[in-house]
Amino acid sequence: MEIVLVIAALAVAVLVGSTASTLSREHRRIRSVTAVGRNDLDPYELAYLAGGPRRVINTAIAALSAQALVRVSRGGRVTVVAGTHTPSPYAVEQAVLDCAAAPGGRTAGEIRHEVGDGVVLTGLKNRLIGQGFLLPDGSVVEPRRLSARLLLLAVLALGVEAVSLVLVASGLALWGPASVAALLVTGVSGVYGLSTQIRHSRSFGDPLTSPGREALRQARSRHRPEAARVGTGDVAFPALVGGVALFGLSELGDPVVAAEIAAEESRARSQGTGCAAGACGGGGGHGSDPGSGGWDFGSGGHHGGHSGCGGSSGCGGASGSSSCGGSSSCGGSSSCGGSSGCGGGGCGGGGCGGGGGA
Amino acid sequence: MGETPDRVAASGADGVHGRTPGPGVETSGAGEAARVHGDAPGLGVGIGWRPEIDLTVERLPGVGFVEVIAENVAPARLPESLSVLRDRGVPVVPHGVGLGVGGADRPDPSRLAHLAACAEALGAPLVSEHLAFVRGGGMEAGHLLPVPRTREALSVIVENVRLAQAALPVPLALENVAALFGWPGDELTEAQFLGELVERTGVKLLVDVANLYTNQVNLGLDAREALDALPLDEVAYVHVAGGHAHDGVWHDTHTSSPPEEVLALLSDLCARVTPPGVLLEWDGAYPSDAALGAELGRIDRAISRG
Amino acid sequence: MLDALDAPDARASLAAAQAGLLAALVAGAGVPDGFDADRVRIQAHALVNKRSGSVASALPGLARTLGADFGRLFAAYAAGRPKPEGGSGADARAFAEWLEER
Repeated sequence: MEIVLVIAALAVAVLVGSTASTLSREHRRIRSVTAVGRNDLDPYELAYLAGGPRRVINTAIAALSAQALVRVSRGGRVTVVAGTHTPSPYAVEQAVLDCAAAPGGRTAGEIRHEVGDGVVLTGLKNRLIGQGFLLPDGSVVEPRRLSARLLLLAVLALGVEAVSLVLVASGLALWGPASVAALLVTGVSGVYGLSTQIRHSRSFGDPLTSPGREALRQARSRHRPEAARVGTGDVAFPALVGGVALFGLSELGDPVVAAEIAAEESRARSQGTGCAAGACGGGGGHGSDPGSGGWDFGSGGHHGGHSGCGGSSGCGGASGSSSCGGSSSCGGSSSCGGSSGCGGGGCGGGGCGGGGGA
Repeated sequence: MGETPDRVAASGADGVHGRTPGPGVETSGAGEAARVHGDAPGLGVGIGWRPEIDLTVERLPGVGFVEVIAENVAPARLPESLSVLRDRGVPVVPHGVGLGVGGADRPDPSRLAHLAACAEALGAPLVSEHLAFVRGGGMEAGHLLPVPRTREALSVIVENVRLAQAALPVPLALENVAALFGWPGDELTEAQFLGELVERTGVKLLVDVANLYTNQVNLGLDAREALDALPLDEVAYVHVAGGHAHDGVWHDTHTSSPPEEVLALLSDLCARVTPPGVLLEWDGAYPSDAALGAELGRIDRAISRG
Repeated sequence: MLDALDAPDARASLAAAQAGLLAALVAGAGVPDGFDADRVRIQAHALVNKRSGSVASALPGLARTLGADFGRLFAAYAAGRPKPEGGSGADARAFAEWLEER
């Protein structure tokens, strides 16, 4: 009987060992790409490495807001500041501007959803993959499969150990060097398998290659947060944007606006399955572990009915466009008719846009 | 956000004249301005609160009071920003656009109840509306239209105003409107008509100098004559706004910087009386925080020229 | 209510006058006598533009799709058709239905 235990233990140990080493090899292989990209990633490329699409778009909104090109209001609504028609040199900023230029603007969450699913972000991602900073799509499929198998085998090893213990305890197998060895081997294999599996599965959420991690680490160590506070003009602004890109909205230096950019979704879907109030993912002050990976891809639940904010001409201007025929209250949208049922009951939050008093 | 415009925090309890030591003095921030205005009769310089610029309005230095379109708020669920302002002591005035007190029907009790509830929820010192009609014969204009200014119409509107006043917990102020056309057979000017309303009902005035300017450009009605004829002692506050000229017609769009002519009218008004408050209306195409702050500075200077 | 005595007649004639003007402004009726017809037409045009802006805000997707045609189509829809009860939301729905029927 003891020999059976030893054989089973060895078999499961071999399986665990080989699967674990394949997994580790695979893990190293997919990440050890040689970067072909430059070492001077722009803030949005760094933002992508640091926090994925959400970080990229939050950084763009924050940067445009800090330049007074867009305005963020409570509820996370982003509108274009009038009289600013400078096209942005960054495609993602331009995409955010196009979104915010819609009548009534867009919420930060809608922008994350629409721009996050758009060609600009796809292009950014493909560029980072092409340069070897980011893992190609699907590259963690094989490691994931191996990881699942390793988990199974580790559990099997522990199962064999449990069975062995029961057999020994009940006297069906004898205490002796053989059974002790079997118990040791299954125990060690189980624990080793589990720990390897856990170690690697943590990194599945981290799509960075080794050069990607290194580029991010270097950018973070180069970053001088104090420049955003004490510097002026062309020093302070890049430091500010870089800070948000690398570490998140906490670096914006305007907690109210930062919270509105981040928090919109949690209000929109109060009990959603996702993260609460921007508390999830990619967060982070300077202390956050750059390697711990795990972007928050949550661009929010699917908002119905948006056809995206392409650079289409849209319908002229926001409320009160120039075509107003000119008497007292051409301004706002809601006008004086009983719009959205604002009678005694009061009008709901939704339909209350800009007003139109004279 | 934004730079500090060269204007001063409101400091007077006696209206806008008390707050202008001159340009170049640093403001001390909206919080202080608000404290100054606690329960003082003076409102100072204000700006129309709109959801798109809520944080801007909260942060602009020296905002003495704000106005909110009453139809756009639910008293039971005030926007957070308005609660912040109210709690800071910044007066918030509900400004109705849908009552149509100049209409042939008696004012709708549910609309009056809404205005009253807004005033209560906001702790407003007064409510404002327009001398205008907005519906009739089952049709909505969606716009503030001028009333026929006959004695007969006056008798109807006097009763309407009294009904409105009776339903409101705070004083009511009525605003002069901008018009593209006049009624045939008008017996009174708008200023005379408002003067009669003030005399017979005790209603307060909200003088919109941009509307006076609009009527001067579009209808040839002299704005200064209107100022002369209005009972300016009854002014609750003043509206200032910008617009666009198009084919010789002035469009009062509230989407641009008030022209010098409008500010000159404000100065003229302030030379005659010290209005408790002056409010900038902006309804779309919002410029930067700094630009809006600078517009409030222009208003400050126009007041002090008066 | 000092003026209550003559109010009923005054109300009726004010109602008739205002309804006549509104019909010209929003329902395509003729301009009542005595008014500057050009100015009333400009006002009517302005009211349609204003409605159009509100409906465009209520239907940003449709506004984008129609692009420059939005204003023209809305003006065709709104000609002689007052804003329905229920504000801009109802106006937007009615406009969308009108478009589908075309």
